[in-house]
Amino acid sequence: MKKLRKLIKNPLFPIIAGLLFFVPAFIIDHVSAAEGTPTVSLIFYFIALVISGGEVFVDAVRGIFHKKFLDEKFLMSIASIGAVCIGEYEEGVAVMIFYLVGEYFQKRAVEHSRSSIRSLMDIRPDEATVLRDGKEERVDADDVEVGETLVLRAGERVPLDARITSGTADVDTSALTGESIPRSVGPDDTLDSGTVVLNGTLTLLAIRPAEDSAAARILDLVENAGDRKSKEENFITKFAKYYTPFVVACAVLLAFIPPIFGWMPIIDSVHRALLFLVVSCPCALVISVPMAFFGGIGGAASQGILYKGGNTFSPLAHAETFAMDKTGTLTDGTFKVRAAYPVGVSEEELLTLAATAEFGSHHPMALCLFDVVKNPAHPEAQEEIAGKGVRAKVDGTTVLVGNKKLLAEAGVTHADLDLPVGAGVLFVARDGEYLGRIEVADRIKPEAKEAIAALRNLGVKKTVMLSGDRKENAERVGHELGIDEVNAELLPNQKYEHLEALTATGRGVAYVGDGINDAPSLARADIGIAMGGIGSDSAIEAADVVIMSDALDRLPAAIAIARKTLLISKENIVFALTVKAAILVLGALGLVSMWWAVFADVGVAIIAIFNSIRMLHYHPKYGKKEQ
Amino acid sequence: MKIRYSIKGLDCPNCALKLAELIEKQDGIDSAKINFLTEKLSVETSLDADAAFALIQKSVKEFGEDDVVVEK
Repeated sequence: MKKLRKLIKNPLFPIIAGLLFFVPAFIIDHVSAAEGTPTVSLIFYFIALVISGGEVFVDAVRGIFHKKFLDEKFLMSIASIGAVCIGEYEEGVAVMIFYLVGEYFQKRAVEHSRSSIRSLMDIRPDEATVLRDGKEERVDADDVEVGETLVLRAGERVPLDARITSGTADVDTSALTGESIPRSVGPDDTLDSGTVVLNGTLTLLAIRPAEDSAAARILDLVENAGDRKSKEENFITKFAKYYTPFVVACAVLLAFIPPIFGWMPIIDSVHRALLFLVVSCPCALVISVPMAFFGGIGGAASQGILYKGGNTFSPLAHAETFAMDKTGTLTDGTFKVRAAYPVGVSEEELLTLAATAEFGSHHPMALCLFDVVKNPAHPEAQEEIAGKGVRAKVDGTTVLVGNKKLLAEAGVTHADLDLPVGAGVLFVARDGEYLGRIEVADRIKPEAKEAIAALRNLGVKKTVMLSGDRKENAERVGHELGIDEVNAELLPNQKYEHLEALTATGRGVAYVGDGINDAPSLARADIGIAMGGIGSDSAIEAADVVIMSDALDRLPAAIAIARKTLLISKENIVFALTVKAAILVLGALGLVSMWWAVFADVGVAIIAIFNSIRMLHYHPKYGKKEQ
Repeated sequence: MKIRYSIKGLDCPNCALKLAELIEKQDGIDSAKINFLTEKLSVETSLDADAAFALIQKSVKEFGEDDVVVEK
């Protein structure tokens, strides 16, 4: 009994059982020489109709009690039963069976795309290994508390955001950032949940609960993205609301007007009108657009680009001006030695002396000296003077490396010290004698130039840099990258004012920043793009698009994905409307039969779904970051 | 207050739209959106969680599709 119920519940049951009766009925009907439909066929058609359409009819009747008159099942039932009533038995049954087949495939297609996204987004492990009372325990990731110690081995995923306390490893962040090159990490580095440990064993300190960790927040963003609907989606939902009543009204007119004027027998006009009922179902339309955005959002997320909603695609696709922060966005925040201006010593001597004095320092400006001078000697003594530089003893001499202030306070004088340069220059003196200056500059991201060129190729009209850095360096970076307009030495509120002036020109303005102190600008721009991860709450709140990695090549990729998604959603709308319109016209002229209408209807929906799924595998490449 | 539920068993996107409309009509529910593809219902309400959930259950019943299941 239970087995039987299960069999009947299977969505394929009414289709197959219906066909078992429909096919013989159809053959007998067509082979028989007799006028009209043979009785055997009639009986078989009837059984086929009851088996295949039974549940649909019941739902339709129940729908009426729940005041759903223009419900899909109701319309299909009327079309099917109506066809039988006017003697089109074969068509009436076929409509019902085709409808079920279509629904079945449509469901499968939707399920397929849902599971594709789910597997793309399968980035968060459910379990974690924690160290409790000196023993390793496997626990639910949600039960791990901040401050507990986690143990991770090769092949495992980081369950919640954590900081490494011991061990080194290579990690793969591609599930989060789309960046496939592994990263080496060690003590004090922070790992986002969802990162995979490739080798080694790590001990970590949990710093955020699972539900606030990166992976959970990414999933949340992706899932909620559907709430902010695009213009296209709103259009189609509104359209669908009027579409069905309109087509049904046309069907009624088509059924009764021609016979009243004696243009055609009522049997024919009703037959054509029933086809209208089949076409009036709006589902193919209603699924066509959200499906495209669903695909776009999911596909982009797997490449580390998070759109906060369907409504962010259009402004990004059409933005003509790109305003960008410099440090952390165009440059990577590390420095390199650009030039050395020695006085009375050789360049090599100057650099070696500076590097020796700075030995062991973690200051970013000092670090770049070690790129030039590989293994500096150990100084005899060393003292860091916060905010100014370092004083060290090298070969019995006192060496000063730092800013103007440091040297001035030590009584060193030289014309160089009166130069109008400030940040980004290291001055060097030995025993009170000025030895020269070393200019350092922040390093432009290796992929930045290609990314900016790619923006231009995508039709971006104007690129603007908004930087707090000194003018000289900002202009150098701007010039090297081919940025149209450079605004330097801006305070955060001035950046905002500049951006406001840009948006006032009325063209689509995008702002790209790392979200550190530029959240207002992210919010003010027509489209705000936060780069470099899901760390800062205010940035994510303010931005429309979040790029998980700090790689600039994602910027043109994000635009390309937005454009392609919009294109696909438009293709889907146009395709669905065209096919429906064509079937309506051909049906009104009596050129197509009803099962074509059913076919067209679900066919359109399924093609729209598959067209949209393409977005999951659309990976535009723009000058991939090299390492 | 915004509350999110998982909603399973909807037949088609158009049914999702209609059910969302029905939920939205309930007193105390400011807005209701159903994402057919991610199977999520999000409701903006001034009611407490239990009262809102009861209203949603009532709407689903009124909607008349037995297969629809809403969960927190």
